[in-house]
Amino acid sequence: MKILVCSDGERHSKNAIKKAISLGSSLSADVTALHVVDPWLKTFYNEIYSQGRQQYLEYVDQCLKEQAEQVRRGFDKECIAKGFHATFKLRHGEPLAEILKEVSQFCPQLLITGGKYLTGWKKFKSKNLPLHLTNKIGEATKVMVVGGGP
Amino acid sequence: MKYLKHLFVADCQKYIPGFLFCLIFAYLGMNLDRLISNYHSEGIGWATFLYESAQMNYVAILLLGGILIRNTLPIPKALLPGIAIARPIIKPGIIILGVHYVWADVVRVGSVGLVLTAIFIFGTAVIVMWFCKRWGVSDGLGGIMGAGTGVCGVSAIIATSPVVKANPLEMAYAIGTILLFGTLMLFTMPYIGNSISLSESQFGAWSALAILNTAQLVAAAEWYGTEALNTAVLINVARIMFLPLVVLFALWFYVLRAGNQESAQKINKWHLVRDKFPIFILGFFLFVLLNSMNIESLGGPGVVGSPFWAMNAVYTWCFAIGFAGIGLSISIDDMKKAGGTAFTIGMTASAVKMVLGLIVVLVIGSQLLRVTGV
Repeated sequence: MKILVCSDGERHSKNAIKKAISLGSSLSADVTALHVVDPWLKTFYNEIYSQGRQQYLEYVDQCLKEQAEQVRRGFDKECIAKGFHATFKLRHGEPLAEILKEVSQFCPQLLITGGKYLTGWKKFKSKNLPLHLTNKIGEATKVMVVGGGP
Repeated sequence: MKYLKHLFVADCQKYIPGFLFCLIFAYLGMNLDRLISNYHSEGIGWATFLYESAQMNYVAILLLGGILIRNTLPIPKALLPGIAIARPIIKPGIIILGVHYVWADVVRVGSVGLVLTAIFIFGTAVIVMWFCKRWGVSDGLGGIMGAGTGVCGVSAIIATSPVVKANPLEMAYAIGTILLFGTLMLFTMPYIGNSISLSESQFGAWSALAILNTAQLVAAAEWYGTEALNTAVLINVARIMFLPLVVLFALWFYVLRAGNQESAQKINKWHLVRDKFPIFILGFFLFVLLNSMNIESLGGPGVVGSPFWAMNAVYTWCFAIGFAGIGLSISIDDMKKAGGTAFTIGMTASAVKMVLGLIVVLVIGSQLLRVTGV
């Protein structure tokens, strides 16, 4: 069995990683963790009056790199604690598109992602990645959304 | 050939499709504006409604049309880099706009603008940062929201975020919030201004003081009228001059005052001011100077066939391409990133600046804020 777990470093994502490793070790599954480096912030570097563009781009790059490294460290730590071996992958681009690309290449039976429970205005406002994933991923892959609780 | 290559940005061909798209869109928008205006002059009902009641000039057509295209049609990815570089084309337009002014305008409107911006822009930045500190908002978010709501929106966030070490999530919240409120103000303020019969110069000053983001500010002022744009740009030039000072203040407030010696030593204050200074405004002032010198061979914006007259036509094109880029860049998904504490700060700052700015321009009146150009 193949399990793909997506993580952006937030609390619900950390819970998703714990869930993936726990399922992976009990089912002896092939687990891959995916972190997508989203370059969205960099698209604003050429605002009309922006000054210090190069410094901004370098700073954003450095922040995103640190964030990815932090997610990788957290994942490795969790794997070591459970005595489990899994793969960590990094992709660059728009998160939804990159996750879909990874799904089409890795062909997991289960995709685990973190998700906040949203209602009302927040539900309307949110990009709701887990919902988009569920809608766009074919029948071959099941999607499991893990909440941000303790 | 090798030297010629250095004149172009690496991968410049990736910008061509999107830029051409903006160019064609701007051409169509400007011609549609002319068409509506012609029909309105002939007394055709629907054209009069669009022209007078709905205020559908080329700015509104390009912004609304752009937003509609961006958020309803699947824009090919190949167009996005070119659309992104169309927005800053407004900058050469602002430099050329210098031919609309003489030094008397700069001294009169500029000094009023300087006082107003000093109070509003620096005041907003200082108050937001102070309240954020008091209420336990992180230094990163407090710093970028103070600069963003105070000076020039996203441009200020870009300048300040490396100094106050804002994290990516805070930057996303702040940029989303500034775009959301900047866009809301762009589409509401011209209608509010018209409903209370605000003069063009008063509206120009109001938009320059209140609208959070520069792109939306320029668009709102041009939408309202040329006189509004002239006043808005002059006050905005005063506003943008405060950017290095606000970044320096953020550095002092969050880094030096907190005694973070390690970070403080890494930052060269002179380099910081130099890097954040908007050099293009020197070009703007050069044109003001040339226009004030009354050089016969250069003519003026109203002297048909003169170099300054030709430049005046070019500025409209720069603005049209820029507005096409702005409209096509306004994505609802980007604004959805607004949230958290940044949303509350942005909403409060926008509301306060809008109300206080309106009161101030009503008290000052039109005369002091009008750009005569002669």
